[in-house]
Amino acid sequence: MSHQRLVLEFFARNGQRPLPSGPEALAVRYLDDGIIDSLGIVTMVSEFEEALDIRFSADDMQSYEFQTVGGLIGIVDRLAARS
Amino acid sequence: MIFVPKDVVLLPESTASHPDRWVAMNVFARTCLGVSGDVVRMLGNLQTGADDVEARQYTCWDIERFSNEDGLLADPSRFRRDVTDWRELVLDRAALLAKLRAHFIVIDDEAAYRQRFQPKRNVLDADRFGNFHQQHGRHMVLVKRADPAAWWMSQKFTPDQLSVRSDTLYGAVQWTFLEKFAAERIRPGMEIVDLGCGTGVFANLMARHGGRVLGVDPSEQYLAVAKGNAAPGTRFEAMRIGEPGGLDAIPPRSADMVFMSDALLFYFVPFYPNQKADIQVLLGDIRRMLKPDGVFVSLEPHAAFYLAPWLGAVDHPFTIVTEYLHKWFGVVPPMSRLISTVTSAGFAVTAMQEIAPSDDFITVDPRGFHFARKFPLWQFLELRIVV
Repeated sequence: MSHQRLVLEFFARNGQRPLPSGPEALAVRYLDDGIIDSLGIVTMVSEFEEALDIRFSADDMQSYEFQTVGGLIGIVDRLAARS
Repeated sequence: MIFVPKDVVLLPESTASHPDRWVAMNVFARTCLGVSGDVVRMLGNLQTGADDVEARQYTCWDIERFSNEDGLLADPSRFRRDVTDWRELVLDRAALLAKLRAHFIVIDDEAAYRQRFQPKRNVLDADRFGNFHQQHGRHMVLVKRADPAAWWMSQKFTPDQLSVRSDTLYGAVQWTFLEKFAAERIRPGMEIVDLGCGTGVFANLMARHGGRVLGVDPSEQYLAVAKGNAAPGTRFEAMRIGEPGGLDAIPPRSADMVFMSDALLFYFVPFYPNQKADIQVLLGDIRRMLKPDGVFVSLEPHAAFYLAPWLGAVDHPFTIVTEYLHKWFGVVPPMSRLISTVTSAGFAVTAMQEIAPSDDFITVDPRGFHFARKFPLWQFLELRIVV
């Protein structure tokens, strides 16, 4: 499964409402838009780490990139490439 | 133009091996970096460019930590006290400036910097500093990956949730005070309502002195623990404190004492956005449930000194107070707002104490002991209904 699909499927399963379809989804600030709540982040990160055997650092999670769906996919790509 | 904002102070932290070492602290952003004398001199020459030599190497240290991770009453200074834990970095000028910018020891745009002093929109918001609760929540979720509710229990009480941790100021100040208070003031059969009872530790203490205690909290998670540890004479119920009708299950004029500890502050500064609980609703409920000669007891973090950094020598502390009447970081109301709010709701203040730690705490945490002796971290208020 591609990392993009993994991330989008997480939001499809756990989101309070669906992400927009197509490229628009990548720009969504999932916490600002109430797609998931702050505690949902811990669940989300744990799920990606387990699925891909990666580890998000505190800096990754506090970065601007982490705030959008597209940025999140970028971080997952980078971490997975390293692992 | 890059410059040092006026919010930055330098604190000496020299040792025999590092005689020219400093903590650069932005007292508003609550950020810190350890810096050598060379860095201090470079900061002094930022405008003249006298040190503008890219090849030059500078020494600094990563020292910052979210020190309230150790507890809400732990040292809020946010840098590592043990200099052997400082992580040394040798950086060229560009890397050093990036580091200094990241810690707000230097800034480029004062207006943009000042815009950061606002509440965070959410836990991922890196553009705004936010208040203490928001910073704490961000640290818990993004750094510790911990459930904040579980942390609240562990930072204050022993793992079995039966007593207060003795290795923190909670034990030395709050528990010591409450044990004495309960022994002196709780009489057998006294009807007590503990609002915001959490896991029930204080309710159990009052019940052991003969009180008949109703512990109330909005958190089912805390109440499950409270019910598991309930002392004879207690009962625990979930209620929406501070919301209209939330405490209607408690009969009028039924309580000899309403007790709140580390809970009243949440009804002044919302704990989360769009919080429904309201201080006026809460005070109206307390008035309604108290008997005419009943007493409302409040034990809360101090309006001025809670979260103020513990600076200076261990036994000769000082602090820097960055706000009081108008708080953007603090979460405790100033004294005048607290008093005017309760008095306008029909209460009179009949006793007040600023509480210092017990003598034995000096062996547990000398810095905390000396600071809290000089700058009280808790305040006790006794309030009665004005007839």
